[in-house]
Amino acid sequence: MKRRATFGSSRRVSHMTGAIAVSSWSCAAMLAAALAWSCNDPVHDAQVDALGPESAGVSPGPTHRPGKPCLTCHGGQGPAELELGVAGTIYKTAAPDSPPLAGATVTIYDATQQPDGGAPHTVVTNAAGNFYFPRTAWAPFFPLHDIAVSYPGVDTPTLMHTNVGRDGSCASCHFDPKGANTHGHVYFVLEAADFPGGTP
Amino acid sequence: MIARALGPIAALLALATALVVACGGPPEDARVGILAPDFDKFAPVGLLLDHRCGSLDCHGQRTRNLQVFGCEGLRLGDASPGCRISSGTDTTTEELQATYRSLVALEPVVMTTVVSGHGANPELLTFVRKARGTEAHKGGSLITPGDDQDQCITLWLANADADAGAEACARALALPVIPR
Repeated sequence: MKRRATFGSSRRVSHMTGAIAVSSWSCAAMLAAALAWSCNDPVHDAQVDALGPESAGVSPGPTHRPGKPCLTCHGGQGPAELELGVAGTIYKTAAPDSPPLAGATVTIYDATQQPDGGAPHTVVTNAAGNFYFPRTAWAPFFPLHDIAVSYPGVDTPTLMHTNVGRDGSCASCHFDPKGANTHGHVYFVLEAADFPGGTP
Repeated sequence: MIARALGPIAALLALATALVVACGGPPEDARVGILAPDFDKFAPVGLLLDHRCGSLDCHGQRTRNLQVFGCEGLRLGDASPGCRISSGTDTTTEELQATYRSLVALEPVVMTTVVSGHGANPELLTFVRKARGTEAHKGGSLITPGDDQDQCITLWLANADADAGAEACARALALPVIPR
């Protein structure tokens, strides 16, 4: 009886209220933490981490990370804010140490377009050989097809003979070294001697 | 009296039989058979699958349940992606066989059901539903029931006349894009 009276005292009730208040805050914090954690995609995080740091002296921008799968960060899951539809890097030759090809025009048709009608989507590569289409400008409907790279002074464009099923990053499939699951990086000519003016 | 004497013996025999049956299991080399359409008629289908499904960012990946091999995507051996038109080598018989094995072994029981029914219900197969877009498919809806691509696949599943299937497949191969 005595213990029961103590339990029912106002002091005890006050302590209980405090406990409940603390518990509510704890629950809210735990819920917030759980929500934040559950919104992370560990696979995506690992893909971003695998890209490594920026190259020395190159800040994030249009010329950074040539040859990397751009949409890993620019595909809508972050961490980059700018979302891209299609992006990649063009190199002059097929050699693994080839320099990039600036000033090349990339043309792409998507599944809503026939190659014999309608203007393709075009973009010119920058100093790093990079090109990209912001999603606000073009949200492509896959598969992409009849992708070509042309260069001033060269009559015949270089064609990609296969479709792109669903990945807007060229480098997801085009990476070095060349093997059974990749054709290597995207190049304009096979060898330097094929380039106008010889060695690029 | 005899029946009472035999009772425990009969029970023991029954128990022993049950144990033998329960622990015996199938032999180690036993295999579940698959009734699949002929490989002889598969080449046109395999080329279409390579063309429409086998790019390196889709089913031309070793991580997929359905793996498609061919010159437009994932290669077997040392060859790199790229068909003869792009100075590579065309899809080989071994690559077609690898695609065939991957496809028919995806759902062996369902494949057997569909083929034994002469291809009457191809949509029982998940790969058909995904290609038609009636089941969630990251690659989207790629074929329409009755179009050339669909006929290419369903005629093969029905083990139909090889020429009819090949013609549909050839027409389907000319489709680089989804018709609007």
